[in-house]
Amino acid sequence: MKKEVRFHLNGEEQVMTVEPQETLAFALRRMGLTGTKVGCNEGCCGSCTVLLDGRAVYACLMYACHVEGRTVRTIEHFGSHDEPHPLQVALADHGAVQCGFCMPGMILAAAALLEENPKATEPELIRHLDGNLCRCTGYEKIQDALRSVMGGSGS
Amino acid sequence: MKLKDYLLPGSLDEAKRLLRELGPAGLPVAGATSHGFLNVKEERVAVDLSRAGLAGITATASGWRIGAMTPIEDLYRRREKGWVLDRVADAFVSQQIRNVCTLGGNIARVFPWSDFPVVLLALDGTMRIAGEPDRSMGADEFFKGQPARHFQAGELLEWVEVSRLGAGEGFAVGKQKRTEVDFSQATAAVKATVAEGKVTGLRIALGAAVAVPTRLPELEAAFTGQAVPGEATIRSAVEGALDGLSFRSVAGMSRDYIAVVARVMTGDALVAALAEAGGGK
Repeated sequence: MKKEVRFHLNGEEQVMTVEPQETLAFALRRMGLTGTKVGCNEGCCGSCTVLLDGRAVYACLMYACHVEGRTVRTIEHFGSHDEPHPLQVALADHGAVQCGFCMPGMILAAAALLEENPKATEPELIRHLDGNLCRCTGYEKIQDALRSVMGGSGS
Repeated sequence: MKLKDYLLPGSLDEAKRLLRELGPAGLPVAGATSHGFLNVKEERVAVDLSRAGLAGITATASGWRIGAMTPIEDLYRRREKGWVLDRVADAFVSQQIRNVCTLGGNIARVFPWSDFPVVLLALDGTMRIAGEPDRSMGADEFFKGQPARHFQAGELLEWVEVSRLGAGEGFAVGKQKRTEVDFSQATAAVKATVAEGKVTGLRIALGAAVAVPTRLPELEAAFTGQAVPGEATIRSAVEGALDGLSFRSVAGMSRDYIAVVARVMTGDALVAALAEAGGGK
């Protein structure tokens, strides 16, 4: 039995039709929002991270039906080629992007923290990114970049 | 797992009614983060509890009442005198999981690696089942076997109560995992009460290293009523007290290795809880 899910997606009301067990990650990708990556598909790598009512969640572990009436933001909502988000600018400026597969998730996890606490400290930043893996192991530059956007005074 | 429908009841009563009508086909859904581990072949109907009004933390005279659908991240963010669940939540997987996984989901179905059953055993938490009739249950009874056996169709975990840590009381949790987001290899939790240099109360629980979370009554009895032991005495006692347990292999690690990790975690938690209770080291 297919279900219609009404929700707020990237600033607009949306209706998506899904199978009851379909995850949010695959539903979003079917809608053309392929910035939501599917890596491990079991809640480890963080590449499918989206914001649900402002909090970072793994879209690969979430039933699409769960977001009925709620607000979802994906990487497509955060900046554009011509007007990148400050986090994207910082990551580019620091040379922090290698293969790039983890970037949507990294940016959204950091964005959730930035929105909630623009003066987040480094330990808070590191804790907030504990669910995002970079298989290129470029963590140092990623942290440098994200730290440069956060207003906290370090540890 | 194949779902044939997904329902979003707007109240606890509606959720109970739906689950009662669905019977075995009904599947209560909390955070759903562990659904990949469920080996269910039959089609089920998901009953999502996120709108059932079961989230939130309220202070009581002796501690806190925590709604079953309260996310783990909310346990971490709470900071109050005597509140200790933030220490547990801090070591709980990742930000994304903490935002979605709920206290109720972590304890209503117990996996070997689940953190909060171990912690609630140590804290002697109270669980409330909304059912026919509504009833409360202590942790020792609730976690004796899989908690699902306490629930009839249409019954749900409503809340959990924990006491405020007071003067002369200490709590500690030790958890060993390979990476930040990995499952626990051994989780030990201890609540200790100390008065006039003596241990007057002790609850020690161990999980992950063993198939089901369990208290360690011999170890509790060894120290209760005695002068607060030194660390060497504690480590020595832990060595023998865990001999009778059947350890499991975790993440490719041998049972012997896990047994060592379990002893270290138990000793660490015991030392730290007694220190916090005022017993020193």
